Amino acid sequence: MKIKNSHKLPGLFIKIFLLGGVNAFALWSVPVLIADGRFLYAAYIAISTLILDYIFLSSKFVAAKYIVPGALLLVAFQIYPAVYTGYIAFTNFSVGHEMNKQSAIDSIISNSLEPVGDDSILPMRLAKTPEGSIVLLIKESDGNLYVGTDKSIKQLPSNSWSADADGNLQSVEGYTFLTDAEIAAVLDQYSNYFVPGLQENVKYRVADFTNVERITPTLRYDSNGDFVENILTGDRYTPNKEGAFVGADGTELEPGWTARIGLRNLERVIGDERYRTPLIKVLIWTFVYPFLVVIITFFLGLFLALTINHPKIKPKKLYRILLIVPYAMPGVLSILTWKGMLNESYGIVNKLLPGTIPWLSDPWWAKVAVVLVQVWAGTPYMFLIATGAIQALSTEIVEASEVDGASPRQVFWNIKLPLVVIALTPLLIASYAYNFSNFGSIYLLTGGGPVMFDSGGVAGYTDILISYTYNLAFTAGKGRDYGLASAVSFINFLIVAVISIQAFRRSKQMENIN
Amino acid sequence: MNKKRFGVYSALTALALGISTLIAPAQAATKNLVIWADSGKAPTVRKAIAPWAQANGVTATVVVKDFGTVRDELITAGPKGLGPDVVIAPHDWLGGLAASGVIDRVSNVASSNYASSTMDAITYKGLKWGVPVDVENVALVVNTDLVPKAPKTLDELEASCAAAKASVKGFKVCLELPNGATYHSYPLFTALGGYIFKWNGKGYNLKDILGGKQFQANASKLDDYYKNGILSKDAAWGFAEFYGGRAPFVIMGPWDIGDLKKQTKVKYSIVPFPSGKYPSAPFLGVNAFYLSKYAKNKVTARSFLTGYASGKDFGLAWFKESGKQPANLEAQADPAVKSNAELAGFASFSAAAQPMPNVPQMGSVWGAWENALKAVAEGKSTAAAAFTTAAATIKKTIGS
Repeated sequence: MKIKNSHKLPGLFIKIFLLGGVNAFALWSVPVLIADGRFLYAAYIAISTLILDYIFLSSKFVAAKYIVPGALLLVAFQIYPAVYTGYIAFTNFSVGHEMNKQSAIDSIISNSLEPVGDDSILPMRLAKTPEGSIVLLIKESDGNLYVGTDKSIKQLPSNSWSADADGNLQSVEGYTFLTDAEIAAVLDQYSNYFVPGLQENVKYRVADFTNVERITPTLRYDSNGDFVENILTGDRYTPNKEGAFVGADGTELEPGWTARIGLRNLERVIGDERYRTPLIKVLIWTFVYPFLVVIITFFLGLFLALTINHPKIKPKKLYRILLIVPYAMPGVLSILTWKGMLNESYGIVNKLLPGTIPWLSDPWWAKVAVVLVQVWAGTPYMFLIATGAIQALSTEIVEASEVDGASPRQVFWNIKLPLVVIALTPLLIASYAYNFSNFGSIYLLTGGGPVMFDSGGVAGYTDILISYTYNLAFTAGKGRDYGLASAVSFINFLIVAVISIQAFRRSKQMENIN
Repeated sequence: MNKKRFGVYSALTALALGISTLIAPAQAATKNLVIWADSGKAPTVRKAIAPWAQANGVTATVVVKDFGTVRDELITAGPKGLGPDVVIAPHDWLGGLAASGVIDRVSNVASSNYASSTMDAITYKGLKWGVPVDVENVALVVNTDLVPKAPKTLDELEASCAAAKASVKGFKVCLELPNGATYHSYPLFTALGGYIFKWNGKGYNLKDILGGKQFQANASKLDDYYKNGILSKDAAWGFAEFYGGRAPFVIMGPWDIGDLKKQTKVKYSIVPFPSGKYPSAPFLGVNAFYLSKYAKNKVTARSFLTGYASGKDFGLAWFKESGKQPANLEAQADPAVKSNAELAGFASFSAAAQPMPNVPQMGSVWGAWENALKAVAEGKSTAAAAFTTAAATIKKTIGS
């Protein structure tokens, strides 16, 4: 059957408007991205837009109209970040290694600029030649006036200019001073502008509106030999494999650059005791935590569902609504509320209990706390799906077993529970996978703490892999170590992938049994 | 291509062009300056920069940034040309910023405008980077009704505490130092021989951490202080005992001046923390302007930094707007600043102040240090053992 291309006017209008928006976005962003040197993004947006135009302006490709927009977004926002994270795992992207090599060299050289002489600040005026090009008029400390651009500098004859008693320039033959408005218009060109100096290696840079500074770099980069040399001492700094120039005595020039270091991040995670010991503990907890949460929430939810499903319970709707409240409440809010309630010295929980329980500062109690809070947040969901599953059970089986003389307990353990578990297995696995990477709950409640002493303050006793990754990315070592964190999140990804694949195989088998 | 299709295409193109003109940015030719500051400092920067901006025809834009993320944003936005020209930040960020290569040096600021410890604070790997704005340090605040004569040595402090313990009704703690207060406890730590990283005259020795042997020899004093009530593990940040007139001593910073002045119950004086076997020292905190390497308006930024921000007028404007001790020495000497009794009290301890280490490795110190202090306060470990563990932990983390 051919699907007719039956455009109603409002639909056509909305389609054109949305498609126009997409095209406008592309027209605006592609030049910006190209100007910015981001060709990959530019190409992706351009090609995506063309594909979308082609698909939506044609009357064919009905299925594609549904799939392609989502697929394009999936590539941009899911697959690309995942691949990028994988790539980062093989680099040393971290504080001090955030730029490419050329930028790092530029930075090193520009950091080495030193003023020359005590009189390094010299008066300067911006002026125009008759042809309209802009030059710097620099009054050197030798009393001569020089005209300079970023290419050249030359002395002006002393009779061609005049200055007042304070030494301020009055007029210069052949040049007109720029007005304030003209200066304002061109000023941004002088952010990184250097006029060649009178001696070798000396340059002038614009120090403020009316001065230049006489400076010289103390380091230079030799592009043939690929090394940085101290001009004064002759010390050489050669690039190492970790993306930094290192001197003979081991001093490292900062900043370094992002270098591909192969498997070294993984080697560090597995081989370095500083990372391995906490990682193993974190890994164990990463498996235990979701397991406890899923088991407890499931049985609690099931129990509540059975109880409320009982004919003798009257205001069913009220109970159901009350039970769903924790589920409807934003997780962030409820977790932060719990954090306050569990506070050791002024939290309501400890005020109600005799004695003081160190909920968030003792390793074991903190584990209890994170499980408890997640159980509180997760039970309503289990209650909901368990209610659904129980109501979907065929009453005939239950009645038949009752007729056969099964006690209520036998009915529950031998009939209802197996059937409910089979129905809910995929959801339980999904819940396990969700809690396996439940960053928010851990991060907001304990921040992964209390801190494991032997982890160097990076890992905590309630940290799961993903929150440990976060700590690595944002607190480890010198500061941020994105490369190492990516390597760990790569491990996290592998584990979740294996669990998921295995789990779906299992649930398929169960369906077959069913 | 049929007529209808053509119509659709032209409508589409027209619409696309229309929308893209709408979102194209407008350009204006004025001298611009963009400064990033956290919400606490932004209003002060805005007001303090106004006279200079007006005199020089500069449009100064102060962008409020979240204190926690401004450093990351600087590192990510800078290279894309979306960053500021100047950023104001505490000096202990300097190491990270310089190591990342996102800030430029400001070489022509006169060191003589500032105290040498202030210049040390903005020095990283032997190079000077920023323009100091204000300085702050903690000091000992004494309840003068309980202790009329401020202690000069730890022995005198201990004697005053013993006297207070005997005479004050409801005495709980003598020096109200909150449990795990790293920054505030530094004067006591240094008086007992402590340091964060040993300063070898040129830089920090990252292998000699948290006081080393020098502190170990005196560490038992810290245990004693908790045992005999000079310190207490129950002390909290509200300083309730001090404000209630029951604790004679507390360590505070200039940011507490507002609270101090508001209350009327306790008569106080602000003095240097007493010295022990070793001279005591507070951390020196310096807020400084840094020039972004990716600044679009570098000339304007340099003009501001060297022509105004480093001078006396800016220092006075900063004091007037924020009530903080300006870094500029001339501004500090101005009668308006000098006559402020509280600031003068804190300033009396600033000569001894040490800049908080501005090396990036400092980030690994706080947590371990805090844990050590807590372990001592709660009696779980002796000070000697707790600080040995903490030093080992830090050593492990920074890989030194």
